[in-house]
Amino acid sequence: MIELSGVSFSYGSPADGPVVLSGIDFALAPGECVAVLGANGSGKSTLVRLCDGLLTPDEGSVLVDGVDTRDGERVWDVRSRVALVMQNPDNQIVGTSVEEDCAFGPENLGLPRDEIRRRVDEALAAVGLAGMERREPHLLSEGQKQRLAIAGALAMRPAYVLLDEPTAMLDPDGRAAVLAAVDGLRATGHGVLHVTHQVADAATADRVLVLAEGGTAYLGTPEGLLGDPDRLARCGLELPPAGVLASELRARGFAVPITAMDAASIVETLCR
Amino acid sequence: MPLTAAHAGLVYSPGTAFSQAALEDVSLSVEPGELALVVGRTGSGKSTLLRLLAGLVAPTSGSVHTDGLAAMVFQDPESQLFAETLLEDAAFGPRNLGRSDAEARAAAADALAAVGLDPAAFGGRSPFTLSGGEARRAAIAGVLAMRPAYLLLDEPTAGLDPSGRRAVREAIGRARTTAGIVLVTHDAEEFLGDADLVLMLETGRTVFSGTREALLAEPGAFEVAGLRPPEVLRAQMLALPSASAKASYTLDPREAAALLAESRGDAG
Repeated sequence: MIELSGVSFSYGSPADGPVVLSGIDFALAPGECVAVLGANGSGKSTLVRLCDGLLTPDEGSVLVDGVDTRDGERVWDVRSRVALVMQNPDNQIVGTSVEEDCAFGPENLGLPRDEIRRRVDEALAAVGLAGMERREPHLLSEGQKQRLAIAGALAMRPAYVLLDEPTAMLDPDGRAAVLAAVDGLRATGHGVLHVTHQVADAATADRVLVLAEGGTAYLGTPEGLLGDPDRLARCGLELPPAGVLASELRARGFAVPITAMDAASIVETLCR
Repeated sequence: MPLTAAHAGLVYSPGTAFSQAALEDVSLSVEPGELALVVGRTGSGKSTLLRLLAGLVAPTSGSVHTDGLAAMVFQDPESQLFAETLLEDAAFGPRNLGRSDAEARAAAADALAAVGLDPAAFGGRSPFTLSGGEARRAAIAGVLAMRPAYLLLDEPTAGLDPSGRRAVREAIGRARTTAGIVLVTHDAEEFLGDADLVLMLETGRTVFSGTREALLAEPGAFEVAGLRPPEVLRAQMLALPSASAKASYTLDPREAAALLAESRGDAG
């Protein structure tokens, strides 16, 4: 469990700049995917960096499986349990081949060779990059690069994976492949924090956290947010066109689920 | 005279072992006031086309013509903001075109207003105190201040939150009253409703070229280009595949709901 209790944070001393986050209470459990939504500057990326100990709170506490992120002695316990995947995969790809890049983390752990091999094979298979081991990373598509970044994180065998807008720079195909990889993380028992601008991504999460002006504007089920237009508007969010289509169909008596945000699942309920 | 690419092609390193065609036989013609949407996957050649239209590179085959300035807004343009105030930043372009100080500042103020940044409130602000959406619009204003006949935009809303996207889309709508627009994106959904013309590229070749209405009637082009159609359109393609239904495909989710509901009769 990653537990944030009464967390406040500002960059520099509080007198220097605005408080970025204040009074955040939130917990991420293993096997759970939480989508984090909010406007630019609402504190989403700061939240991610607090969860893996890159930043520590000014007030309150962040515990990762019981370890306080401010405990300098146990920083490695935190880092080994929490992996971070950033928006731009080029910022975290270092190897000259796919397998070498993926092996970078476990190599630094000083693991035996066959254990590294096993981890790399598993991680690449988990994100759908098996068979591309010898490919040079710069020849990958953007979506493949982002999945390689996720594989590199997975090879460290973390309990939690934090993704900071992993699909922001991708075309729709790349997005779909990365989202499938994110789904796979949850299915394999990882706790997943998925920061996104896409309201549709909230539909497939277990819970949704919406940040606004540094505070919690919503924390609950996807249905409770997506099915409530007033609440969405108060959070500064709006349904994507497919969500509008689904809600119009519901208004006409069709039993389209609130979380149906893609054409296939909308049409499937129509045909039933 | 419109901004025109006629059978334009671009080969990198022609005549060498590294010769690579980035664009082949692509034609596009945009009039002032029109919005042409260029869509394709990453690597389809759409940014290359924009560079040809801006005159940044010359085509290796075919030709590109324009009667006025075709000015480009690159991806992530806010990284190029540099001056101490927004007004000075937007005045940089017209100054470099040889306009007088007064003319340059007037053009900058007009451009800031056009992107929804009131020059009285924002003109004296530092570019480094802006939100993501404001900075993007300030960067677009810097190009608009040169009063281009054509505005070329590369993924203008990438990385912005919904309110930032909305504001940029409105700014583009206003820019269209004075300029023709060519807008490149890999996500057709956001701007397709605003487009007069659509050009779809895949590995440097034209997959579709025509009006938005023609594309809606022939949405199979999305798949040929390796693109996912907007979800609202895809729902109609899945539920109403007949040739006769294609003529009524719409991007409006409310109209689409009516079409789908009608085809299924009343719900239980």
